[in-house]
Amino acid sequence: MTSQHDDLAALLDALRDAESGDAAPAHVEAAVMRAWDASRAAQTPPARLSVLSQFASVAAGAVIAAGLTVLGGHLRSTTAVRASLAADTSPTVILVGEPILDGEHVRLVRMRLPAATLHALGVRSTASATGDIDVDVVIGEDGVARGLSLNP
Amino acid sequence: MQDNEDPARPAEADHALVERTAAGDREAFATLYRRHQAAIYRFARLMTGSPAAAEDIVQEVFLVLMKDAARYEAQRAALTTYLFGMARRITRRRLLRERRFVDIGSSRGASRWSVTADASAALERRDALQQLRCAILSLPSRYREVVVLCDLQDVPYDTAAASIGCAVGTIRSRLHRARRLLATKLRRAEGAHSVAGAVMRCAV
Repeated sequence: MTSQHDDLAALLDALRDAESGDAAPAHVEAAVMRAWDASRAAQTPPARLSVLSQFASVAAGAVIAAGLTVLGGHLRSTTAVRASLAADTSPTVILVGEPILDGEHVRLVRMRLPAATLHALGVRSTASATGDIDVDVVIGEDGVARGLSLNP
Repeated sequence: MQDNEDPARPAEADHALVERTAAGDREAFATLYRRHQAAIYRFARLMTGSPAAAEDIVQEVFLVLMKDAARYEAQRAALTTYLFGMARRITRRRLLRERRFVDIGSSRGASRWSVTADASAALERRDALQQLRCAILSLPSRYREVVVLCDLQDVPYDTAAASIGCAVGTIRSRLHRARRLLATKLRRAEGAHSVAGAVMRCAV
């Protein structure tokens, strides 16, 4: 039994020596490092913006913010108008876009819309949300609406 | 377990390299790969009997290290333990999934013994080593892994125990049992002149 054990130990030693110099082929390392590079490339943030493009981004953001602020104030004022008129049956007037210029030819388009549609667009009126509302749309020479008049 | 490093430079500790790897240092990761890949490769090849499978396992182990370097806790286990443990899990999963036949004849180690002063002795030795490889591959994996780690990779018992997730005493008893099984298998194989090229099933 001891002899067998010694034989086995010697054989294991020989196998260990035979295997000791073996390593993964070079292409495995190449594949692993390619994976590393791909992984890092995926994590790398996009290239830094130039000073000019950063400035342009900030300026564009400021313009958008200012525009939204003006529009928001305008909508609030029209809402206030609507609220003040809510007590009577006067039409609600909403001015949108550019003001009507002196002498500008405008067209008036009258339409009947479901109140729910207007509610969904954020336009509130005194009419029931389930009824219809007559809407007068003032359209300027450029085809853009200048104002709305909601007739409950 | 250290390969391909400049002997003139003091080796940087594994945990420091892992920290640098987690921080995105490519060179640190490459150093870790070169330091540990050979041991992982030999372990995987002896466990599967397939060089191609061993290459896949090495790749998978280091891809996991690449992804999870930040999770490695040096105070819990040496990197060697961590890597062997991962290689063991990947190998077992692969063997369980594939349960395939392994071409023992494709093992490349045999060719290393082709030239000696005594050609006959060299052939006998090559055959003996091939028989031993076959015998190791036919062991149940719980015995095979302790033979590969402790007898063929010189991994300390406590490191093997930590990699496998068992007590050191379990490693000792499995090693004892594995050696007895190996001796029995080799004794039975003595009747056959050579089993090189034979196809046998890996025991999982």
